[in-house]
Amino acid sequence: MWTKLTAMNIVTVRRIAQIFFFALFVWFCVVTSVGDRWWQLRGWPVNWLLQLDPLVAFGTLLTTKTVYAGLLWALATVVLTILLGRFFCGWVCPFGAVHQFIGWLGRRRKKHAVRVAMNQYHNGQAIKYYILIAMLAAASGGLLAEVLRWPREKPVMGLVVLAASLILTLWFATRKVVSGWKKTAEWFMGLLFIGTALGFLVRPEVIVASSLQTGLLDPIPLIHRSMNLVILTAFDGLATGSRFYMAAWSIAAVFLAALLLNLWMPRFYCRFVCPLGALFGVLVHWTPWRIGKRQGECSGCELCENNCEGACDPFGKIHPHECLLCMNCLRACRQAQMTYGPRRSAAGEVPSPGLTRRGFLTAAASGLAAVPAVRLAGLLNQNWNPGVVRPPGALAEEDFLQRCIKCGQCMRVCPTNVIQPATLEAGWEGLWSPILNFRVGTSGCQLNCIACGNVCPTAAIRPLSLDEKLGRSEFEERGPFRMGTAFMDRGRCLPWAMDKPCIVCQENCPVSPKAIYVREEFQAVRDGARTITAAAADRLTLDGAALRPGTLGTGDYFVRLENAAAGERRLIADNSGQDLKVAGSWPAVPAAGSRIFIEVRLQKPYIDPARCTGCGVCEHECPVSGLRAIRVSAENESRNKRHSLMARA
Amino acid sequence: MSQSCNEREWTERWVGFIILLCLAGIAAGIYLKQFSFNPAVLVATVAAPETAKPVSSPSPGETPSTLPPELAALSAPETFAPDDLFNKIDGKADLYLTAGFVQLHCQRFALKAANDVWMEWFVYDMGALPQAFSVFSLQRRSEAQALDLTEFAYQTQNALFFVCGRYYVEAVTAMPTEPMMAAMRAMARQFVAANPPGATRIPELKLFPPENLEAGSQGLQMADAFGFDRFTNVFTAKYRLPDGATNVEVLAFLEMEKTSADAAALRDAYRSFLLANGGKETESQDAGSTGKPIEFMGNIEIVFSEDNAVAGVHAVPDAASAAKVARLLADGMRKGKNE
Amino acid sequence: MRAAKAGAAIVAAGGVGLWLHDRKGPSANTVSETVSLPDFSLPPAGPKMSIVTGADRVKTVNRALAALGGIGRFIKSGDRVVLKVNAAFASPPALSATSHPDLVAEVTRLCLRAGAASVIVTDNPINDPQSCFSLTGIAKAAESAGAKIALPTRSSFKPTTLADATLIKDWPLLIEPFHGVTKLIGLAPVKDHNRSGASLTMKNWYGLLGGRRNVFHQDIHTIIFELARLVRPTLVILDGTTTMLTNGPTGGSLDDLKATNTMVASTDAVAADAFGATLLGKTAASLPFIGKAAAAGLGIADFESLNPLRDHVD
Repeated sequence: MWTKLTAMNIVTVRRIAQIFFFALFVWFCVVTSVGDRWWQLRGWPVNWLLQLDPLVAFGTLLTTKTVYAGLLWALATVVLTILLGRFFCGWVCPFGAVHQFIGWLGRRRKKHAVRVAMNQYHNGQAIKYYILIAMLAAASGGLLAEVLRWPREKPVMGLVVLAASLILTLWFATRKVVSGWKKTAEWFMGLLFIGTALGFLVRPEVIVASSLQTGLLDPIPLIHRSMNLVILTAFDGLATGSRFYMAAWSIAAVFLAALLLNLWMPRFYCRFVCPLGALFGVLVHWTPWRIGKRQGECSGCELCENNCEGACDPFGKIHPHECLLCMNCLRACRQAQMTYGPRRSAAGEVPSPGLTRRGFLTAAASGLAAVPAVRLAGLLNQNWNPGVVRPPGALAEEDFLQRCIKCGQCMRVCPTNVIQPATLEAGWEGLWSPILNFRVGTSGCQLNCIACGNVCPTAAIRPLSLDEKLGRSEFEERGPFRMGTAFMDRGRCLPWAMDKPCIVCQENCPVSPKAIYVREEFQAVRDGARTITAAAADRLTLDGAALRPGTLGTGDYFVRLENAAAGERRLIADNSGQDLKVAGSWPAVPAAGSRIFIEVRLQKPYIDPARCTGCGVCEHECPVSGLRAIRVSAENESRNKRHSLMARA
Repeated sequence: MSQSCNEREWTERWVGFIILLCLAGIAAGIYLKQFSFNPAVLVATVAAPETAKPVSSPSPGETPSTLPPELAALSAPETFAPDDLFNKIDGKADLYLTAGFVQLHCQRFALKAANDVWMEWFVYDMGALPQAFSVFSLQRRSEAQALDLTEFAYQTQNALFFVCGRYYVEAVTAMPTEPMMAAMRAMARQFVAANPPGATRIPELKLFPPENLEAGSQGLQMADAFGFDRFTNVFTAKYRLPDGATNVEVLAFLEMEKTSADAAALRDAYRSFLLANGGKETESQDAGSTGKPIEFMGNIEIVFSEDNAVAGVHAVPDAASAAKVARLLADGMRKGKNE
Repeated sequence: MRAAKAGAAIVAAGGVGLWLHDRKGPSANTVSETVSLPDFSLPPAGPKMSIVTGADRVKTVNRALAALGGIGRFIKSGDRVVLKVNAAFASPPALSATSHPDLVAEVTRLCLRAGAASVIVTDNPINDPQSCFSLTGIAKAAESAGAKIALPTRSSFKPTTLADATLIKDWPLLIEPFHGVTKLIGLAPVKDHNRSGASLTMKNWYGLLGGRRNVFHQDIHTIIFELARLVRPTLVILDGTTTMLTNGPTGGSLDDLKATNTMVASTDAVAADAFGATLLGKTAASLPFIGKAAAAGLGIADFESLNPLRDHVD
């Protein structure tokens, strides 16, 4: 055993590492469920892989200017990557492991020549860098706005910079520099001039803003999302009953497409799409150790390229920023020519991913411009969507969109399955971000549950304490955290519109005192005006159409004499086709021929907006199960003052 | 060449080993980390729910259906559970708690016409009719007047008291004006209409022979009756014999047991209890199966068993009356059984 | 050397990461700086209130200010003055729902003549700002007299909180026109108001609030009271030349108006409003916001006790 452990070749170790991290990933997804059993949340660090992901940390760093709590783990990944290379892609990333596996399945019976052709470096591998640049540009809008605001705030300095940059741009231009750092400097000066001028002329917030969209293609959030919202639902039925997620088909489609593309080209996603891989590709520019050829007798068999995962061309001029450290080339080479060491490859290296300045600027400008363009819909202002009810603890929308990586952890941990991935309710920026849908799931948002915020890796949903959520002790003045308010639909509510007693919403309202209160009304039922044909001490015989026997004895129906004083009514204890039996007896037996009304006691629900937290239990329990008669929408949500319903907060 | 090969292999093996160690370290670290629970788990598993008060469907005391039009709520409704009943009624709580108290709803109501004339309405949910009857009977005021409402109901100058199914209801006002009393009666009637007492009766009460029985004197003690801890369900009734000379009130009692053997055992146990605490047997004044009376603390106690009931008279000052009532009770019970 | 560059990169990454590390996370309120309005009032010296009757508002305002000691008592050379007018509705001057342009022009002229460096006329109207200032004639009148109009934009507002307030908590305040300003004069017409009973000089400050301020109508007297605490002007001028007696604040019919021909200048807004109530045929006691403000010591409701100087000019 000991000898086996120390005698393993590096590829086997790599496979073990991939299996280890994949199993860890699956385990973390499985245990993300509130509870203290060993297979539930307990203290499992279920966000660790997300925290190791430097794109999450760097993206949120750009949008919020902070590195939140556990995201500092990404520093470890960054340091190790700078030292060792893209080990994360080859050894840790669970999405990469899946791609590698499917790619392996796909090429198992293929011939050597076909395999080598599949693993050739492709110029399209530069696309992932442009994707990264566009996403990071979109995340930098806020920082850029701050920079652009600067000329207005310090006009004298601004004018100096404006003048200096103009002069320098013109100087560089007249020097006829074609390429190299001077050309870049010329571009920089030009942009500085334009930027400063813009800062004087326009308000920057209108033209640039930041939005975190890395979560769409970042592999760690992507695979968490796919596992949480698609794959694990197949197994949930064993434990808690089926879970449902709206629009999960779109998540599944992306996942499946990425997996299937591996059959055409191994690790397609890693090579062409993955922005995290691109970020690593940038970081490995100065790694001390790298894969490369030795100075020696290469026989030109190209066996090294047989299973090269990164398509980095180890046989020829290697592309070190594409190398995933899969070590397959080390094992394949029969001449022991491949090595991982401090020297550059003897066959030479391609120094950079081959991005053009044009491509860089296009990607950056597209990313920057996309955000304010998308925001023209006004969803962050007057045109805000009241159907976007966010989980308790969520930040105000603009800040929320700067932190949410759409990982689906909150949706997975929610014990009642009401947190759902949005489609376009919150706009394109909010795709797959969490919104509450109270018709789905087993109940509304539970009063004493603080799971979602305590599981969110980026604090897009703040980790609330129970006191803060309920508005107790030091939070008493602020009151409970509101996600929205319930509104009665009086045209659909049974007591309001259909003469049917029902107080399910009021009964289930979990806050104390309840946010739903009832007012009683007695309403003559349809066909309820009758004439007495015969009467006894506790019995009346009525004219008119036959009543349905036994239906009036539920405790909700009363009989009132036409001439009785207001409020004088007797409870109906039972009825047959023509007879009513009342509870107790009449003080004076009514005469035959007198008119009576059969009345139903309706308790009509009203909502107290000062107490309603928008938890949605009422909406969930409402028996009008299609379009519910009581529905929660986001008015009065705590996270945004402008949506407040009342003068006093 | 082979040397560097070996060297390389050796490096590769050791690097591999170290990496495996790191993985093991990661696994260990994660295992240790899972012992410190996430706050969401702590809250979900350790914290007892704040809202422990039983929030059931609207209690009878609250539904406006029992509120007559001349009254309006003056204060918010209050609810008390067994653990905080003390906060509302202080020392009286014991009485209710031993009788199986479940919940109290109370609220103040004022006359709409005269807002300063108000009453407080108490609805004690005692869980079952006998229990409600027990607390009702044990607090019966001496100045009780008849109240035609339910089987067990009376009113005093400023209050109403009645049993309705498993509820014991009190309505008390400090300003007993006629409109307020009328309003209280109206509310009581509507309460009874909305909460029909149902058909349950207390069968034991029928066992007391009606002759000479003081109306409304029946009671039920649910714990430690007469100081004897095995008397846990003792029905009492007062008899006033029409003798000119001895205008004595005699307290008769009975408790039902499961079998006649149990009843006999309880009878004997009570007799032993009395004798052990200073009682003395005396001669029976009438020949009968009620057993020898016991003189205890200057009063006469008679206890006998009839079928599966233990019955007798308690603390009667006059031996003759005691014997008479005991006789009546025994005969009545036997007759009732035969009917 | 590569290793050195790698080392430098590691140090840089580590430095940035650790420096910007945020353990706590975002707070509940992502609110930044709050602002507050300076106290523009002058130390009490001299007459506090003047009431001048007459049909010509230009003449009456001149007389009213003269009675208090002249505009020079309030506006000194170099002062930057804000005139807070009522331009709430895009309504013509004849309907008297807004400040009269002649009054705005005259006060502007007086300030400039007293040596003011600049006069800014501003308000946050209910209707569209551009059309309000132009249809009311205020823009033309002010600019021809030499004032600048400050139209509110999104960035003109910053959140403010009034200490111990229930309503004005973290609420947008129209602060941009006040940069560098040293004096504040409020110009308000006398109007009935169906929610608060009257719209006078204290209610005039409602026009400095931003956001969805109509929510405060749920508690109108408290908001007027809190506004009186928030805003301490140098001087208020209450124009009762034409009073809107009914159907305020928008009015709409000439029948709503009555020529009460009175102009009030006062350093005490509470007193001015208490007098203004009488022009509406109401009493100060029937307007709760006056009582609240007086009780808080913001002014005197019994205006007669201030010995207002009365005059008449034809």
